[in-house]
Amino acid sequence: MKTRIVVLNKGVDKETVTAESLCCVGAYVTLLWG
Amino acid sequence: MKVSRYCLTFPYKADSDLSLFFSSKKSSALLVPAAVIDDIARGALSDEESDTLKELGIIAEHDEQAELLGFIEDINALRKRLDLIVVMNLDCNLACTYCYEGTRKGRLFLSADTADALIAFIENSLDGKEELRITFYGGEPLLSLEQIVSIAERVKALARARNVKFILSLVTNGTLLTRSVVEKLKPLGLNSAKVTLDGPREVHDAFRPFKSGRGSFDSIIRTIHEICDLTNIQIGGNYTRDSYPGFPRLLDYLIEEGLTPDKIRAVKFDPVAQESSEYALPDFNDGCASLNEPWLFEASVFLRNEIMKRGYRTPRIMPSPCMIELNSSFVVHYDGSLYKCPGLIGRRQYCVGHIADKVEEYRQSHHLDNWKNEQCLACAYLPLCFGGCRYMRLVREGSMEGVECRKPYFDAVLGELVHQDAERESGAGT
Repeated sequence: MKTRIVVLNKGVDKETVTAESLCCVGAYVTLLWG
Repeated sequence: MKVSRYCLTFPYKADSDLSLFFSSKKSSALLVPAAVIDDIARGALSDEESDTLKELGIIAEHDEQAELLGFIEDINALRKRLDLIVVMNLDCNLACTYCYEGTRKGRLFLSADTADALIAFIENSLDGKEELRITFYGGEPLLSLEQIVSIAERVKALARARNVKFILSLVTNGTLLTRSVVEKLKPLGLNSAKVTLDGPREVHDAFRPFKSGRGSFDSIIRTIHEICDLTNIQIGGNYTRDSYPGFPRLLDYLIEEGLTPDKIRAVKFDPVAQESSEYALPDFNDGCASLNEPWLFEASVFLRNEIMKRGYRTPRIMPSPCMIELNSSFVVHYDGSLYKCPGLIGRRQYCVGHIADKVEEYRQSHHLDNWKNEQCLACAYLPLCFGGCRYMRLVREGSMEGVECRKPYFDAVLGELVHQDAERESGAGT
């Protein structure tokens, strides 16, 4: 059966998780992102 | 067949027959018809669909609580990069009204002896590492350009000898980031620079004047023009409740100037946080104390939408531990003292050692694992939050003890943010 699911983004593995996505949302102690 | 606790579902706005599934632990996103949702409940998926949902973290295959308890340890075990933010000085050529470094600023510079100690610290910290990233920070780091060049030359040689990839980044106000500076740093490993524009000219200039009082906006735009073909530029902007509505005019101005999305690596706007009275500049009181301030719900969604609808890249919503929990991330202060977050520099009780000495135990002082409590472990937002921002909690409560719960914020905005990412990924416009 053909899949009915549409994958928009496969997401990330733990190797690529950084502290930079949201850590600066609450403080403008901003770092480089991505 | 059990749906992950960290799978969030939203009605998909572009098609009422579909649901938008988002895994907060994987940052995966998918569109799922109602029939598939029924089949998940009945255990009646095809093998292909079942495998897809498992791979994307939508279906839980094992004890998720145990998985999340070990999540940051796993990240730490897998990380092959050493991240150093090096505070080159606490001086600046600007006089930003809200500078969080505030009364900590001054003519304080990283010395030659400290630079020597930094090289030795790096050399001793590279075992098992495949990558080294140094972000030169300040104050204004480019007031220490010669020192940056000297350090980068030595680090580049060291990294080459140790077969480690070296990336150099800058967080700079942008006024001194000329083409010749970039040409000097690029062979040494410069990969990207983050500059700040706090809205359209008149708004930015009110917040970020030169010390002379003159506005800095045009100077920064000029340098972005000069260097955007040479290195990755990331544009950040700091907003208040009053200033954020004007930010779209900044984006339109960038486009009019030809600084279109293809020329800019990423754009991100963040609220100004109110630093504590101990360090804050006395005349600034417009910072936010918490992400859960209701005006921020609208502001953050609005601004991110404005960025994305013009085609600029902005970071995806992703799992996000506090950098304090990442073993191989440090801030090296200008005097060689070590901290775990730029917001903590100069707060001596949070110093975790010195580059000429050792890193001291900081698990208790910095309340690592503070999110390992019943409430957080049951929360679907845990991977996006991990107890929130310790710095914000410290400034607001006077202590890092306890979590900085962001549930109200995520309750209010996550559906919108995930939709923004989905629209970008599906190719649908806004």
